[in-house]
Amino acid sequence: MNRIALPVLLALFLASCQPAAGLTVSDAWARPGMAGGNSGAFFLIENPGEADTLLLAASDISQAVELHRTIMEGDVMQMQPQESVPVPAGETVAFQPGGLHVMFIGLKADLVPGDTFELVLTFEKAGEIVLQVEVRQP
Amino acid sequence: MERKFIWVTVIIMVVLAGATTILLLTQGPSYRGVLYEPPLPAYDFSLTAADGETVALHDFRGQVVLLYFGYTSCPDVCPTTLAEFRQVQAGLGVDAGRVQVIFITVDPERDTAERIQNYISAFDPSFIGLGGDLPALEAAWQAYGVFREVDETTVTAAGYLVTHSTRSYLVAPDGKLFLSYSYGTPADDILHDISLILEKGIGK
Repeated sequence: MNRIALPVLLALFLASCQPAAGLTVSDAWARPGMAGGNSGAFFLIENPGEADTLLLAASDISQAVELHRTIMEGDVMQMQPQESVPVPAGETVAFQPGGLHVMFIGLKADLVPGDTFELVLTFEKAGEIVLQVEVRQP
Repeated sequence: MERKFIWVTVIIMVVLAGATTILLLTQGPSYRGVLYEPPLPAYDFSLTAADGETVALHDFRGQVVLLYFGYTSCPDVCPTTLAEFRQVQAGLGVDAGRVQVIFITVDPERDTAERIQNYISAFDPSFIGLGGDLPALEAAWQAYGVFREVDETTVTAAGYLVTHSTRSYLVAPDGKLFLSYSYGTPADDILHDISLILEKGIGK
């Protein structure tokens, strides 16, 4: 093994460790809401790479931000707070009405269609992803 | 022999075609919601509006009433349904005044009538939100088969959540409970049914 081959092999090896592409979050929107009330945000997480986990959602538009899942049993709706949300390798996880959503509790001001705000999602591996969320009627 | 066979076939076909026509003519229009058969008088609730006035179901005789039970802290299912009702209302055009959306709280501890009205006016200013005292609300929940339960175990910054049923109800202009819809029924389906009711003069 000569002096040139070793760095080349090392570089190739490191390159093969990189995921094919990074995790992306798109189509972020939130429902309108009134000051003191609640709202929900929705988006698509596409994960072409290795398995990851959504750990946290944060925003300064409300007193608290939580990850929730709506569960329907027959006609009855129940909300379940989620400590974290797994994002399996090669899969798309949809946050959408009637399912997973980010819940904003105690809005500091009215959310009106056309407004935008920042939402920071923290993933175990992909780290922080900052979203611009648009307020609109579904 | 062969001619006889042809005649028998022709007669069978004519009989079948006639039977199908009669069946189609005698069958009522088909609704996309779940039909109450027969439609029975809808429970005539008497609740409180934002201005403190008492509002009863019979105040809306002559109109189609879309009834939904929810709460203003509801993060997902209630706003989804109300956004659909907003689309229904917008799609009615000139018939908009012939339909009234009414939202009744399942969370009287936090939902004052005023808070409810603020909440649903954001969807459509014509919607009416109703609260009231517990016995009057309980009677309405029970009469419409609404399940609601304060979820004490789930820890959330929202204080508490209310687990509740999500069906909406359509009351015909004569005050009879006519149809119900499960969560997620498209606005187009509800519009279709309302148009049919108005067109056929159901409950007039």
